[in-house]
Amino acid sequence: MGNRQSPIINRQSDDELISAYLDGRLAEAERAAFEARLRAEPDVQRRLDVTRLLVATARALPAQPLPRDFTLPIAASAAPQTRAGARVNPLNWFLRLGSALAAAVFVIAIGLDLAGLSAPPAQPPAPAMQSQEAMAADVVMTVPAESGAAAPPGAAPAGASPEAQPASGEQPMQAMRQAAEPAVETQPTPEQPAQPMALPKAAADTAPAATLEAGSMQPAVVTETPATRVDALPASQPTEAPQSPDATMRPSESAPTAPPQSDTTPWLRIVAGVAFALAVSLGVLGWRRS
Amino acid sequence: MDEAALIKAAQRGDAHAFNTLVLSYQSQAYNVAYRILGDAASAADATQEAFLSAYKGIRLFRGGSFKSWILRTVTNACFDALRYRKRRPATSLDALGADDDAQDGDFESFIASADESPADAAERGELRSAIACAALKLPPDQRVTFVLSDIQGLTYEEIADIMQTTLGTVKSRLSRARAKLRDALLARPELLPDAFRP
Repeated sequence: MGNRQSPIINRQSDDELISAYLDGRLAEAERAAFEARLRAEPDVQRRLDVTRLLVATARALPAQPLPRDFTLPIAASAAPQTRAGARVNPLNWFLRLGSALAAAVFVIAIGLDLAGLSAPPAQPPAPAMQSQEAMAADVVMTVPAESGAAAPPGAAPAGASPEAQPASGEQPMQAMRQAAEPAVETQPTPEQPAQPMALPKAAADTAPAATLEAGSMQPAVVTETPATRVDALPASQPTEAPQSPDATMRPSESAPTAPPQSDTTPWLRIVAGVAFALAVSLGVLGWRRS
Repeated sequence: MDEAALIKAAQRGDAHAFNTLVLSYQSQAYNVAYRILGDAASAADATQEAFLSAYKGIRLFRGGSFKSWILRTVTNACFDALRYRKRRPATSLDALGADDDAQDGDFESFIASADESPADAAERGELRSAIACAALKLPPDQRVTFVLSDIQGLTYEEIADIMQTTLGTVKSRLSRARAKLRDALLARPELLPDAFRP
């Protein structure tokens, strides 16, 4: 059967038999059959002898001396040890977790702060200016009519100060002040009596000079008073201030945009600062422990 | 302290315990690497890399033969070095002097054996050198199997454990390696003793 196989297969089979025979890996029957072949086939016997010499010589190869010591330096090998200890140390886990949470809070706070800062500044100024200008124009249109109807030309309002009274008999100045004073006197509130009174006073003082230069420019001078009044309007009393529906709506539209920005951003920045300090301190502490 | 206790201590991060294990196996590990790679510098690098890798992964050791586990890391490091050498071929100065190393070893053995003539000792040295050089030309799998079996004297089972393969594969690789080396020797009959020459 073995003679019918190709020489290469026979040779490989012989090599496996030789190797297994040398290592004592053949069963008793296989070993007996192979020894019978050795006696009959000198070529197989020669290959076996050379292989035995090879194995014996290889086994006797001298051991090479060590070029150096392969023990790990303790300092270098301490790193994996501490890492292994850190895995079971709850304090290190707490420090790392706290640092990560604080960093997350910091990022969220900064993000909210930036979102709050980026959105309002682009839009609020325009509506505010528009409302002031539009309100000024409305007041110009509405105040003379109201002042002419509600207040008699010669009657001074009860709240008017003596300094605001006309100093001369010039009719343009009186008309100017009569037109301006009712709008001003409706503004004072029990909480803020002084500020609304001061603004019309200044406006009244500047009004004559403007009207003396050009009488047709009176509305333009009058508009300054409502415009400053809009800024001075307390948000808590929207029902007492307005003289016209237009004047009441526009300040109330521009009011909500400013307060959230000014109220939340300081808190966000405080939270961000605290979170940043906490993240850094916990991170440094955890790093120094590990 | 026995080996199991040292292993457990090393798994807890005790570097001293691991170094004690290194001292036990570093000679065998280095010699395996030397016979596989053929030069001292590459063998030292592979051995150091293997011990470092073993230290990092010793927690993954789940029992069994620690010697087989260490030699597995060494042979893996040698395979990595051979792959790197194949990508970037270079001639090592140590490899050029491999014959000298073998002859140095033979000289030591010649001094030790008083019943051998100088001519016989020289022939034996040349034969050893020829075998060591021929082994470096074997395919890596057969080379590692030959080194572990015929130079280090490990059993088939240990080799199969180290190389993560079957006994049949070990037998096959070893028989092929031996056959190639034998044919290399037969091609140079002057290296063989008189009794083996045709």
